Amino acid sequence: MTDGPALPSAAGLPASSAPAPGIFARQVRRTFGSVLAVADVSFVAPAGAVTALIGPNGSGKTTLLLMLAGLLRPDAGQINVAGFDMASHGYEARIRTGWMPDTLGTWDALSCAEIVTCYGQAYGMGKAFAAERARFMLERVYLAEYANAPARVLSRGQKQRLGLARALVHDPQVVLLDEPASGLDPRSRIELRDLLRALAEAGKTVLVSSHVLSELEEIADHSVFLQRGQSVDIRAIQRNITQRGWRLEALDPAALQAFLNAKNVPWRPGSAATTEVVVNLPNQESALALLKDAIAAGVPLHTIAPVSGRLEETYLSLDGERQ
Amino acid sequence: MNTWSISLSGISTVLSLELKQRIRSKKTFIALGVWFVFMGGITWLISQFFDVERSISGGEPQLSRWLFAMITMFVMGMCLLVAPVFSASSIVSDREHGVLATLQATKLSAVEIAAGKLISSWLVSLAFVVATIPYIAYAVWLGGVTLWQVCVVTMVVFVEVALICTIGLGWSAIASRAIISTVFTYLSVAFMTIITLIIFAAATAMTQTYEQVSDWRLPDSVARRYTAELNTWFAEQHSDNAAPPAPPLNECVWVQRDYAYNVTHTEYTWWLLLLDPFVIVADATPTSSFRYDGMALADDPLTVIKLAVRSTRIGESAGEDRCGTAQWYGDYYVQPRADGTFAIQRYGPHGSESPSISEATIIPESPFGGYNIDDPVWPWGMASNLLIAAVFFRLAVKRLAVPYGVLPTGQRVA
Ligand SMILES: Nc1ncnc2c1ncn2[C@@H]1O[C@H](COP(=O)(O)OP(=O)(O)OP(=O)(O)O)[C@@H](O)[C@H]1O
Ligand SMILES: [Mg+2]
Repeated sequence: MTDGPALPSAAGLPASSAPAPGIFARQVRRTFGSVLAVADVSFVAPAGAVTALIGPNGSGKTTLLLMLAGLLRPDAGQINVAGFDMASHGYEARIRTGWMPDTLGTWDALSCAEIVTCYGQAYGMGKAFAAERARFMLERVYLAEYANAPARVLSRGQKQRLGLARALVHDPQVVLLDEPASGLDPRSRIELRDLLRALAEAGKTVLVSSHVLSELEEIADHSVFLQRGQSVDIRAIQRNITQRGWRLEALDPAALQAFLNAKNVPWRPGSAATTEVVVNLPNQESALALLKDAIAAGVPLHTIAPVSGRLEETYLSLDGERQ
Repeated sequence: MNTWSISLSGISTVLSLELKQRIRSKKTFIALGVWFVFMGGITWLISQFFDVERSISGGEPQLSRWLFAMITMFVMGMCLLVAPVFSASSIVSDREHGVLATLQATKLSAVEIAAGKLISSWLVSLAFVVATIPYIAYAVWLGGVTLWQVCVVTMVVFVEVALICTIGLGWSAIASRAIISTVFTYLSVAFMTIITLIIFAAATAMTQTYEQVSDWRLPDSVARRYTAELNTWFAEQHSDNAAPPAPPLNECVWVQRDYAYNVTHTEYTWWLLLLDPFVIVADATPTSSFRYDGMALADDPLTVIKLAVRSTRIGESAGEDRCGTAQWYGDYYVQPRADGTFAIQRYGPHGSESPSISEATIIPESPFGGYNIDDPVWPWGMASNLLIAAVFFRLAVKRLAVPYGVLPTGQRVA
């Protein structure tokens, strides 16, 4: 992001070289009438890192992001964004934040470039500068060829990328993305991942909510789990995860099965399309031991891998997930 | 937080965003074209009621005044119907399309968003007012209407359209769906134009009292004495510049009428009419009423409305000021003149050809403390409308302010 047109000081944003404070939230709570959307959330998202916000449907991710973006007032608790306390300096925090909602809204009559330019102007940029910045941002999200197309014709994934360009137009310190990967094809996801990593490397604070856990695992440096509106201590959960599923595949499936039976390791068939089997092992050491034994026993084993990512396991071990 | 901070660039960002969308949509222009043709048709229809040829020849300017009045009322009415279309969906439809929250998250303040949206819907509605200018020009061309009148009418229509746009903006900030805010905006227009009239009628009916009204006039004996004096004077031979006696107005007293009847006290309820944009436009237009028999009369609809509203403010129970207006004394019609003299005209078998002018007298101060038929009501109407607009605008800003505290049930931020 740093290679884009430099923001004028008129935009009122601090130089991005200064150590940016990131996001702190302490005991944040928000209700909607009788619905407790966010009950008690505390977490830290440091600057220069990508933090994942993970939780089942209705766990309060969107609500939390709205509060961080300065659109919703918490009922209780303290939020500090980009070094500003939300309660007393909400405006300062808000203008240093780029927020992308999970709902894709655009003005149908306007072209992509006009939309992004308009947001640049809404952040106080001059028209010419905003237009230049918009062109740069559209290139950054690979929408340059649609710059003059009306937003109405864009596909869902393209709209999602337009939303990203829009949220980043003012080079925010803190980037809040609500399910940015939904609707993106694999290539776009990789591009999104690279973009987020680049933002983090430029010292920004990036908070991403997503359900695509395998993606998050690769991007996120930290993760915050939400469950029924509460942040969950993941270390405690990860300690509780005693068994992980491992996928084994050998050139000779019968030999592998015979080996496992002989070693008294319970197994079950893996996905129907392959000849793989799945075993539960307590930790990496036991996986290594099993691998050594198999090789020693002459089983033509060529694959051993965890069935799911750590995030996914943590996620699935949250009890009573969906609301 | 920065809810009330305002900057020109912020407003113009929102304004250009809104206008771009309106201008891109063909619907606006189709509507404008249909409107132009429609108003042309109406003007043509109205002009069929009048003998336009005769009016042009200059004989009867009231014909073109009628045309002007009818067109004015019609433009006004139609603008009140058009303005909600552009204003009543402005905030709620952005909310429905999920773009409002992303705007609120920027540097823009709530006032800037509200003002930008208000100005854009106002400008678009004004395009409809401006499209009727050829027809108003036609009325002016017919004669009998001054450019000043046109200017005033146009200004009042501009302001009233702004009012409706603000009301629409307010409703669109509250409503959860565009259809709801549109309905409520139309109900507000109906309330101001028609329902207040009905309330006025109902409320006025309840103010009736059975009473004997008093008039400020000469007692019968004094009037008889003065008639006798005039008889004597007119019987005598006088030089051309001799002056007949002036009525003895210093002897005026309150005289109770000798019959009682149901008097409606419109002076308690007249303010209900103030909200009505039609009343405001009619009252503000500098049309001229004329006096006959001491009564203000009108020959075009705007002036008729104007006089009607002003007389409701004066009220029936105030009685009549027969000392300040022209009166009959026997065969003599005595008209006060601006310089303190009276024009006295004798009618009947011994009628004189031209009125004789009395000596100048000092006309005593009228005890009528209340309002006069020449006192305008529109400043009050305008003020009340601006107050309503301010309330609705404030409401819109409050509803746009972030961070949201309590959310209306069923509304999500995004
Ligand atoms: N404006 C609102 N009024 C009433 N209830 C609300 C409102 N917004 C959110 N909620 C409730 O708060 C809870 C959390 O909602 P939220 O949108 O934050 O969930 P989420 O974690 O983003 O879910 P998802 O993964 O499906 O996007 C839900 O139970 C939801 O019904
Ligand atoms: Mg959500």
